[in-house]
Amino acid sequence: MKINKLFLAVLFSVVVFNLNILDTVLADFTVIKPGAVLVNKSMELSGQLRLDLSAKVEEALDKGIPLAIEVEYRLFRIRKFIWDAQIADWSFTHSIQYHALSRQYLVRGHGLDASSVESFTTLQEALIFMGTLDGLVLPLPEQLAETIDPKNNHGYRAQVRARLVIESLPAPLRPVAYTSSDWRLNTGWVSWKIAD
Amino acid sequence: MENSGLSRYATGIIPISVLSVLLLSALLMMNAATQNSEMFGHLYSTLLVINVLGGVLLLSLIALNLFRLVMQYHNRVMGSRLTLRLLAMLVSVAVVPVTIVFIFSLQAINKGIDSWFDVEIEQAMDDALVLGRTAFDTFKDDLLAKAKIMSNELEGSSNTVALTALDLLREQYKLTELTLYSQEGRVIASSSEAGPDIRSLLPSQPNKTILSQVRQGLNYANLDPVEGGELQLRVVVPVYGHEVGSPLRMLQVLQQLPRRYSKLGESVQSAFAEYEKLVYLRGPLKFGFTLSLSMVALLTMLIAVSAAIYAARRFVSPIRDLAEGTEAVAQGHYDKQLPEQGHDEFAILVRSFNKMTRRIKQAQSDINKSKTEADVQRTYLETVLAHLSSGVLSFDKESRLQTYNRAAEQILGIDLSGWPASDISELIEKHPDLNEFISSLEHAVTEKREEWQQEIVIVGATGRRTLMLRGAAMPVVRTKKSGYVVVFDDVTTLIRAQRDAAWGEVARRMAHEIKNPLTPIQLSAERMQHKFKKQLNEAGQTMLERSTRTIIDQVESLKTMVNAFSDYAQPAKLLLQAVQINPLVQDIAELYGANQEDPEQVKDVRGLTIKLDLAKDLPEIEADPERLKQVLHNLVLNAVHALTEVKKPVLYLSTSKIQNGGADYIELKAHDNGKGFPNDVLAHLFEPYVTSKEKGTGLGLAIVKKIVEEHNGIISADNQQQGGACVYIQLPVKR
Repeated sequence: MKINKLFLAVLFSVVVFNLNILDTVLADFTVIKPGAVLVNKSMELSGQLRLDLSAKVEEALDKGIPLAIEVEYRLFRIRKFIWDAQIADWSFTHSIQYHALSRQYLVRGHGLDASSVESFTTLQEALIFMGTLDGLVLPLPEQLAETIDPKNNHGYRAQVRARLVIESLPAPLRPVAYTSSDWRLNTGWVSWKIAD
Repeated sequence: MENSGLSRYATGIIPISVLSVLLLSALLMMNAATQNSEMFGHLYSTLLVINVLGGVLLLSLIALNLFRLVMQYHNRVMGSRLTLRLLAMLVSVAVVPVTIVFIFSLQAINKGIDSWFDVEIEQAMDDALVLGRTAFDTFKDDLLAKAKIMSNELEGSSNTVALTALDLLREQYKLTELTLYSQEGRVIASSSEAGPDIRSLLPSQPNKTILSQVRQGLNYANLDPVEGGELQLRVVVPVYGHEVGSPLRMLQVLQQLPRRYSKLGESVQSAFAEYEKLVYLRGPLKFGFTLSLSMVALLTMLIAVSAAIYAARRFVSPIRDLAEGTEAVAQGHYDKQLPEQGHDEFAILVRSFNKMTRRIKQAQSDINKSKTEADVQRTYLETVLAHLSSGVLSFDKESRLQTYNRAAEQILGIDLSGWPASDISELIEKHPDLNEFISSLEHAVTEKREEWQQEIVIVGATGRRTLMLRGAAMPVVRTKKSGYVVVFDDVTTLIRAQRDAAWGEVARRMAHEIKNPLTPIQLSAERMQHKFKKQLNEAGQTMLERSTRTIIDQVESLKTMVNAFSDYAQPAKLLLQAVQINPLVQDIAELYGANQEDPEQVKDVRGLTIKLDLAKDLPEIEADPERLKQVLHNLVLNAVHALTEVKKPVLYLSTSKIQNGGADYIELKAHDNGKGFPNDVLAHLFEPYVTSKEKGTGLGLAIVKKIVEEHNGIISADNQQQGGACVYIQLPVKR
């Protein structure tokens, strides 16, 4: 019985440790120079999401499998002694699909506009377009916009995460995607302090 | 069985059934999701996890059940073997077909999925796509040529008149939208078939890549899918200025493809995309179906196994109950009743079992009752037998001793407790004195007499005794010979009493008949002597005197004898009073010691030493002291006469208190150092006229016995082992 418990504990810690490692090492999505300012009752972002697809994912995309990439933003008020308070969050899902007839990559949704469709002749262009944070303006909720003042309190903190949404993949692909590191494309939460 | 709540939940049929139904439905949904069902697509992963977890749970439950079953098997719990065997059978019946179906299904699915894809179809799809592209390329090239012409035409027009020029050109070439951009990408002028874009009030903007490409002097022409599944051609060309150094402008031409072309193009695109997707998903699809099928097979097997466990348990349950019941009955628990459930053959069996145990119990109780009654009867019989004064012996047909009573042991003078079931002939070897008794029995048995009666005499340690035997064959019960029974009484005392009575009568008559003529004879003899003495000479006188003297002496002697008989025969006239026996014994001893000077007595008692051993503090007895003295006289005289030939005759007189038959007695024991009683005399010692002495009336001990019996005492005699005769007199203590 003792051995069993010990074994389970070791297995559990190995799995958790590995998951964490995998999450950071294999995250092909990265955030470059993230930045944000709070102006005009909104959060204006800067920086770039580098959405590098693994070969497997790229192959799937080229074979007509649409990919959904969810980008989430969070805004925290920094507190001194306890954890920071999350005061706003946004989430957008963009999708990319290969259009064989026109030999173009179609990107649906950009920024706040979910219905926009943009076409690109190369995947690289499409991904850069999808990952562009520069000029993205996220409106703050009404009541929050009134009270927000970066100079007061201890400041604010923003977080961003971009990830490939496995649940949006065709059902047969999901078990494979869940169990393969090739499909684990995630920036993880990237956090930075908003300049005064 | 420890039936805790948790255990019941783990092993009951309901949780497994519920779990099975849930899992099967989850599996159905998952299977639907694998085939891209809109309904369950978004639940696919959840369902997969639910199924895996459910499968693990089900597997655990089955493992738990199997473990318990195996433990029961090891602990040899009733029914566990049968359950396991049944389970193995059911499982093999369920699992083998499922496995076969699984393998074939797997092959069928793989082949089925593979058969979706065909090289020709793939080629056709590719060709269709190429055809589409070629068709649209023609449109594109045509539009590009037009765009170039328009670009040339616009080269000379300034920005201010550009809008008019664009309108004209759009009308001329029947285009959807024409937009002129500055080098920086700002809209200079735009002309649209439907007016400016209603949504954004802006023309459809080419992206930065296109703009930068055109700035470098390259043309851009491509097919753009737009919202609503429509297709449009987008061509962007540079518009150069006439003057050197004038800024580059860019013309974007948008041409909505005819709806029919658009539809066809989109159809080819979506079919191709779907086919490509399927080709790509072939592997994952196979994996998904294999997974679903495996889970279906696994769940089916697990459900079959759990159903088998339940069925086996359910089936074996009544058998186990019956087995336990039979075991209980075998161990003597006849009140075992099993719960009656259902109406099937098992229920009939259980009912029959219950009926059987009830009957067995009834029979058992009847047997016990009969046994108790028999015990009571036997105890009653034994009590009666034990208190019978007659001896009773019963033998079986093999002449083995079956029953005896105390009286039999007392009468025969042997201990029969070691003899039950032993052969009658063995008794003879051990007790040769019972030879005549046993011969009589054997004789009767050999002759197969139903009843017989016989008087026999046996001579043993307690002397010569007369037994009256009555025997009978036992009744034959169910053709089983039951042996025979012998009842016998010791009639020695009775015969002796009769003899004593007869002797008493003889003595009385003798005394009467003889005594009467004796006095006239004596008187006549004396007168004769007196009268004829003077008439005779001296010799005659001497003879007469001697003769008359003889007559008178003999008559006197006869008188004494007759008186003795008379005394013996006379009924007792006892003057009873409380008496201490020790002073009487001492008186007699002193009397004989004091009369040493008496020549007569001296002669008789010469040399006799009387030694006394008297117990102290003896209780009183109720007796006639004179008669007791007579007893003592007689004993002493008897000893004197018996010890004439002994050099140093000694008579030991002792008194003691004893218990006999639950009553207190004073025992007077007189024994001498002579030769003892001759054996032939011993049996009749106390009968009148029995004597071993040359002199004596033969009434001494008879009178002693008579007096002792008048005092309700007991007298007996034997020869001491160290020699010498011994007489025991027991007199009851005064109450």
